[in-house]
Amino acid sequence: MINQKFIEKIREDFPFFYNQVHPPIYFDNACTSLKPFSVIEAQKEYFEKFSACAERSSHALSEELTKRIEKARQKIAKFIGAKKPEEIIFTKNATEAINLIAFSFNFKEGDLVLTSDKEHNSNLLPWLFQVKKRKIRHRIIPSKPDNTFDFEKFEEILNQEKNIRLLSIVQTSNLDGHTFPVKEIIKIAHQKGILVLLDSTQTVPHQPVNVKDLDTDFLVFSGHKMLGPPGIGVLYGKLELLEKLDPFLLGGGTVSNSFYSDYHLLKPPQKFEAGIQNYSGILGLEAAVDYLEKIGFQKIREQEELLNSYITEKLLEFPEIEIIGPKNPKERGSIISFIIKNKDSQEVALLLEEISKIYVRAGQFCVHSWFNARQIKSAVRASFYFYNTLEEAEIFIKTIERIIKL
Amino acid sequence: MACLVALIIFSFLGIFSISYRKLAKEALDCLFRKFSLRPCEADFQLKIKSKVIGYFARKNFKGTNFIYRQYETLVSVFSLIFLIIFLISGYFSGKGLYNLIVYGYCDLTNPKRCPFGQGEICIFSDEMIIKELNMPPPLDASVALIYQRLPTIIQKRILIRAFQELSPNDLPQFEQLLKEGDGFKIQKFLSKKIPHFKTIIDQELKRLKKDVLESLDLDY
Repeated sequence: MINQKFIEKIREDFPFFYNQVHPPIYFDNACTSLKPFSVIEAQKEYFEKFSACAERSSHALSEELTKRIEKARQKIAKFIGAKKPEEIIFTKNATEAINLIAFSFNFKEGDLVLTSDKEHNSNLLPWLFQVKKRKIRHRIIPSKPDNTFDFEKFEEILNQEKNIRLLSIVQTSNLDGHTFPVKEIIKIAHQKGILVLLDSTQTVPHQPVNVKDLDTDFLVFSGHKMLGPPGIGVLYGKLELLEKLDPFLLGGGTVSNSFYSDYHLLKPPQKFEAGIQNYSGILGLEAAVDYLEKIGFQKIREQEELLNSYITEKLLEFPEIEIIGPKNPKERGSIISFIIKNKDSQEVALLLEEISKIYVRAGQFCVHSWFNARQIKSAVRASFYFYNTLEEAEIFIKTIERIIKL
Repeated sequence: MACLVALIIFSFLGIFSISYRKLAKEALDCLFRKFSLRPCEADFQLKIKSKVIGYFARKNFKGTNFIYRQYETLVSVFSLIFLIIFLISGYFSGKGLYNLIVYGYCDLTNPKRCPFGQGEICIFSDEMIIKELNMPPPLDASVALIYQRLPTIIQKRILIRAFQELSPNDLPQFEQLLKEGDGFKIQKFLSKKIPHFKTIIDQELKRLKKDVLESLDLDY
């Protein structure tokens, strides 16, 4: 079991805990994580020391920034096991990265895109839009009743359908924290010649992800959920695929030359990074990766499992509570979403805040489609990170018990 | 009505804290929506409910569960009480406004609060006398001066009548009250001791009007 004193020490790295005598209990990490001092400092460093344009001007400041950005790209590539740094494209966030693929992919009318039935709006709406705009088709792979991946249904669809071009699927769901067995899913998809895009926004902050090992074609994630700043995200793509892909945005930094009637695109990643980039965000993300590597995913996982196991065990003692997704906390990573019978989830969230200053999320977590299909109004979601403590989990349980008794 | 209660409470609390000011703004928005026959934001109502329940729960108040379960009823009752208070205060405010417009600033019962004509036992202001007696507007400075003196004249006339009407036993107390100069106490005393005190006032007002109009006729 992870030493809780180690966690207490870690908390000193976060201004959120450091600046308050009785800090609130932050259990909304699936929405966004807290930021350590090192990330804030890295961003500050850009504004104070390298406030220039990368890859454009030839002066020392610009050259220094270019080096720093490329170093960050290499770091992030290594972090997710990409073969080359060119396979890392900086975007605004995971949403933009998915949209980049949706808009740039050379779909033809009638092509089919598959998604799971519990995708975040970011991995549903871009495809629905393409259905309207480019007349492609979109089909849902239904999950099992416990929200785990249904291989039978998947294979059934693969055998039924033709022209399946892309499987765009969430790796770890923000709805229930369950991680799909994507390695097997990708293997099956590739056997049928289907490309795979993974939405790993909830995975990369919590467990090691290796794109080479997974053999995924594309993968996206956001910086702000993994201690990094908001406004920076990553699209990973196999270089040979990125080279074939058209850019989503065009402008400064994407071309080697342009004329009144034509232009010459640069190679990836530059051709996808139009305009001045979020340099401070990139440096902040690099610092976040440094910090996560320093802590290590084993410890992160251990602490999250400890908290989720404790909370799950206690919540299951209340017959009024229904957990969304698998009952086993080890299958739900750092998230527990639940419904309290006869209680409004929004009200539960507000009461958690009012009674014990616990911040959770209530609602449909941008997975409206899943809730609407099941006619469930909303749920409460508590999501942890390694800096949350067992003591906080105990307060959470006591408060939930108090709310249930109301 | 819950938003009206919330608006009143949070507007008051908002004087001290910015967080309550935000809630007051939301309450105002909610009230506006109610008046425009649109449903109030569900979030706001829940927010208020949780604030109330959270407050009691933090204090380990034993009645928290009751308040939670009967919240809607309690809000309705409180809203009704606030509505009644609101209507009553509205009535008095309206009456006060009417009096202000009709009689001017002088408070008949408390001369010390009179913004004008302090120092004397203010029972009537000149504006009030002019309106009450339906006097023509003063055409020159000398008439205006007479008008200004009317309150003093009428007060003195009433006081003389009071001296005549009071029994000898009541006179020392009356003189003492005059020395204190509290118009409200004097009026209360006279109303108590002289059953037809209001008639005396009416008679003196009529007599004064007659006298003034006659003197004005002579002058004009």
